[in-house]
Amino acid sequence: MNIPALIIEKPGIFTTIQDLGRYGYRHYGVPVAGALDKLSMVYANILVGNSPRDAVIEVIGGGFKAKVLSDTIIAVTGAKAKILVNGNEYGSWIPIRVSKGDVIDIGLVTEGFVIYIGIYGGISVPSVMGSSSTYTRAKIGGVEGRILKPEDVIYVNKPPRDIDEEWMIVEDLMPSIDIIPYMPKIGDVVDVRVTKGQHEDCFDDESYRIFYNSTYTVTPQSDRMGYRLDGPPIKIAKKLKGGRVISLATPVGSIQIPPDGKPIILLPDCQTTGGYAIIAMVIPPDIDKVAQCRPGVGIRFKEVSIDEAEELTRKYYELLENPPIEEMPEEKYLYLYAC
Amino acid sequence: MIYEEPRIKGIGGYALYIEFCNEVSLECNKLVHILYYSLERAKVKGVKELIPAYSSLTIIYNPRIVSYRELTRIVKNTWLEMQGVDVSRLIKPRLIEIPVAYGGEFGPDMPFVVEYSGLSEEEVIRIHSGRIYTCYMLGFTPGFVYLGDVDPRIAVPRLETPRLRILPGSVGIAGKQTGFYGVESPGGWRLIGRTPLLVFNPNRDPPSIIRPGDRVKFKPITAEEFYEIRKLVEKGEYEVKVEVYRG
Repeated sequence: MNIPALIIEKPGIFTTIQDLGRYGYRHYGVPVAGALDKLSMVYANILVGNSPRDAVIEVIGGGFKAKVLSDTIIAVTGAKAKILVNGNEYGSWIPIRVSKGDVIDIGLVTEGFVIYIGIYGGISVPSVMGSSSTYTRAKIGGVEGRILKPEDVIYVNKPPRDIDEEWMIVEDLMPSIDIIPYMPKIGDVVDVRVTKGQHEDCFDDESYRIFYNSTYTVTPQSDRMGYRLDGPPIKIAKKLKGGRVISLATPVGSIQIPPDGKPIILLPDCQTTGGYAIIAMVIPPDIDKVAQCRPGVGIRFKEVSIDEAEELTRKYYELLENPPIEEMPEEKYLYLYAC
Repeated sequence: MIYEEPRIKGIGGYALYIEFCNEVSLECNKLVHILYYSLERAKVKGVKELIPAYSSLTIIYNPRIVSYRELTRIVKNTWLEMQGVDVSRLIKPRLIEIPVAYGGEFGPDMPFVVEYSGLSEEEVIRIHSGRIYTCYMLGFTPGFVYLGDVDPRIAVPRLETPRLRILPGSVGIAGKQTGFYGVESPGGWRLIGRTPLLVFNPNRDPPSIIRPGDRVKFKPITAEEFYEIRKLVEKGEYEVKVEVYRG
């Protein structure tokens, strides 16, 4: 069933439909795509009573406005921004009940970079290779494989059967306080955990010393393919033809060093293969953290062992599958609705 | 140089990188495909994806189900079991015929190839379509197929400035490699022709006509044939010629 839920008035500069990603096709050159910050994305679903795997709206940078077409429940997670419904302010990371004709207006991000909007029933777009995720470069998935534009209608898979009943189930839900990720501001420095990469041998101790002891800044030349960083350049010690290695698979989180020495962190829309040397790899839980670093935020790399990386990834995957939620305590409830 | 033993390395807590050599050669690439297809067939628990490349294979795994230590052991054992096994039975490469309209509007860089090689256009076409190529890997963009090796006489360098827009199905040469584009994208290969086939279709499973390790043969067609085949392809009435490769 396809139920119209929203009509877009102002989408923001790069807004797409995303889910957890498109797995199993990288040997055909198809990138995984999917939400940049998966933990935030999963909560946008859980807080409205959806499955963690449902599709949501991803708004990079904020600045989103839409009109509600049928009574439903939404949740806004991820980066911080002013959330208005008909001019009344609401908190993020909580369910919000909206009615037909309401206007949802989300401002530009103030902390963090990427916002997720979950809608009751899960967003309905044709599934391509088992996923709803948009990969704009090949026009795959989402709404016609592209970013959203004004007048686009967002459909959901099912309407709330009884909105009052559904609302009673979710209205007091919120993530456990310690789960809500920290959203960095410009000038902040975020620690990102990595393991050594595929081309460890191409870099000497001095290169790694610079890599681990410098603060790199996210540049505006960053998108869903990868965040380009600025900071002390890293020398490739081993002589490589044109600074390149033999093309290899480039999993999400790979940190490439191109000939100019400025690291690039690969994100979900990255090409499946590449020819730049990989100095290190960001562990999956910290890819969410990187995604929330807008241009101007600093990043410092911290090395962990493969065993630690596996342990942290295990915990993270458990979190994504079973995101803990709790009933909102009364004082928190009052605080959130104070305005 | 092909290593005596594949080098295996855990990366990031969810990937295993296996390198077989430090060269681009069909001989080494064959080893990648041997392990790729044997692991695919083994359906190892916790393995989410296997991504073969020129000289390496990358495994994406779920550390909740399998650890890199266990996976390393499984890979090593599978590798040992493969020694002395008749590989052609395992891989069963297919030979796929790709019709290509060469030159003209289909291959804007044909004049360059003719000039660079000092051959006539007919000779370039004969040489390019006269070989059976191996698919080293797919990558770069969805359905982009890397094939090798090209006859040295037509091994032209890439464009100095990549084109911003290349049509799907365009066939190009870059050094000793040839291949085709699966989707519209930018790119720097010298374009010599185009196939009317939908070599990549996101709504088909599998989306790509070609798999890693497959053999490919190009068949020259005329412009008229290009449009005729195109029509059949659009109606879903064109049958791609696939046979078992007996090399």
